Amino acid sequence: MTAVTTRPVTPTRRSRHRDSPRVRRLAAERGVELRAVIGTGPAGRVTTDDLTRHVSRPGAATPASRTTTGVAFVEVDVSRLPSHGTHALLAVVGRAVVDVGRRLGAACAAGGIGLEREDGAVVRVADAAYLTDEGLERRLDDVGRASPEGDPPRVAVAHGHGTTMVWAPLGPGEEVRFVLGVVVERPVVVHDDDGAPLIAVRPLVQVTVTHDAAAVDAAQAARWLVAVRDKIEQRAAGAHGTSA
Amino acid sequence: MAQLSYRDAVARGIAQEMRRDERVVLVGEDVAGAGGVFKTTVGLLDEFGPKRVIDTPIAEQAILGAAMGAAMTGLRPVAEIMFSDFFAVCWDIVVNQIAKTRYMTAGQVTLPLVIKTGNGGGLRFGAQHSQSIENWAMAVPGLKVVTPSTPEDVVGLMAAAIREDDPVIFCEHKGLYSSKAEVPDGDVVDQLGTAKIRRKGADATVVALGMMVGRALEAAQHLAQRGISVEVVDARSLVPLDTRTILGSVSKTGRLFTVEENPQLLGWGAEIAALAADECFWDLDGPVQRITTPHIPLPSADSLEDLVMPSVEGVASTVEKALQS
Repeated sequence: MTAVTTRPVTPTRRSRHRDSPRVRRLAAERGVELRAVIGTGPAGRVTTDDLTRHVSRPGAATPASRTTTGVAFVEVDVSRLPSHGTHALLAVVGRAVVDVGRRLGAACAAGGIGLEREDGAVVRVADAAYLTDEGLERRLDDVGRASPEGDPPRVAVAHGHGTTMVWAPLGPGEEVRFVLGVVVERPVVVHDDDGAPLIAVRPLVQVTVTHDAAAVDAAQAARWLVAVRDKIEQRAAGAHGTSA
Repeated sequence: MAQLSYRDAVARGIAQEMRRDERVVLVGEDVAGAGGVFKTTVGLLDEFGPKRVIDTPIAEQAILGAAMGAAMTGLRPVAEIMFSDFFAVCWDIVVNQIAKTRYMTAGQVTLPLVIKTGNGGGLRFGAQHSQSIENWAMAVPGLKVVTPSTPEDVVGLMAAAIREDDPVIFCEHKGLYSSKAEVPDGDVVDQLGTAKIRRKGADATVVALGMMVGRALEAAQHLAQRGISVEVVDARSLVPLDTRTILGSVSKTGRLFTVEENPQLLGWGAEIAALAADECFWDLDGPVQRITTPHIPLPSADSLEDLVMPSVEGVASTVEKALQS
């Protein structure tokens, strides 16, 4: 009789890019290390169903409770934006958040976005990436419109209900939340054509970001926030209509 | 609501707009007395008379030159190029004149002009009378390009094209002329730049155009029996393109296929594939696949034409294989 040796079955990965972008995004969003998932797809590819099975398998580690860290804020000069209405500002910031998030490769930015309307209700917009600022603003104004069904958005843009700066905890399922303070006119230093400093009065908005460190780390959140500010200020300076 | 053939829908759409606006005129070879070589303009001469429904010599450049001049001086002409293949003999006026006039006059001169044309294969008309030329037209800034797949869309998109202030290339699929479907009573006016989801699905998005829409739908039906749920998007308008509907569907299903009646090289599907890669890469669950004709002229022999055109079976097996690999 021959001895039977059993070898542990170790899932192996054949190449870096065998798993689809969608699967890699979902794994990143759910905090799953793809190497640990047994793929049942063709050639051992991990499918979306495999991921779901993996996270719901008996004994699977429950995701650690969210540690919200890193509250960062920037001041955004909105003097050249056409409107300072809450919905107009939410739309401009919302569009910038989605565009920048996608450009930075933030997995959570690939899905929809949740926007807090002036009355506090949250509007979910699945296709924010394809709307204009005005289109997004119309979604906020459209009281009767139902939000699309599906997973709650991982990215939220809210406002401070008239306050200047807010530290806002993340809502359920959220990974990053941007909050706009109220528009405040302040004296700021600007430079004239010759580079000489002057005091000018400018409308400013404080934008705060709160993030789940497991999904969006502090450096990424900071880059995201700064790029959102830059995008809004650049567009205000004349780069109209660039939303790509 | 009445059953209407695709060919009758063409005449209905034009008549609807001619009744509404006396500036709308129709010019082309055999469009008046003969009611169109494909019978798409039957009855228009009787209703609107020879000043508004005008037969021309066999000279495509002359047809489009006349139509362009008419559009520049206040009319809203519909011109017919009988077979879309013959755009090739009038590209100078289409590309260098019609498409560019608004731009070169800084918007002072618009060209509200529809060029309707019999397009597409499947009728054994051979290499010079079967091509799908949307790709040629799409490449020219200043032209809008639509291809309806149902009688209702023919009426509605024709109305939208005639009301448009820019030139529109209106591709009628010759293989669909005899197809019939319900068209609502009264005026039907659609919107350029909008796609339609013809069938909802969860596993794959198939974007099709013209006669390929029906084949994609049939393939989706077969695949449903095999447990694969396919969403079929009728692109309808290539310029402008309804990216929101198309990308929304791809984001949902994760897989994208195009079904095109043209060679793959620089086909419209290449543009949509590039768009998906740009805009929803992280939603893609596999490579985009384009189902097209091979890079050859369309043959006239029945068996060969059937072989090269995307078929129901071809679409179904390509989608199924791709989802399994």
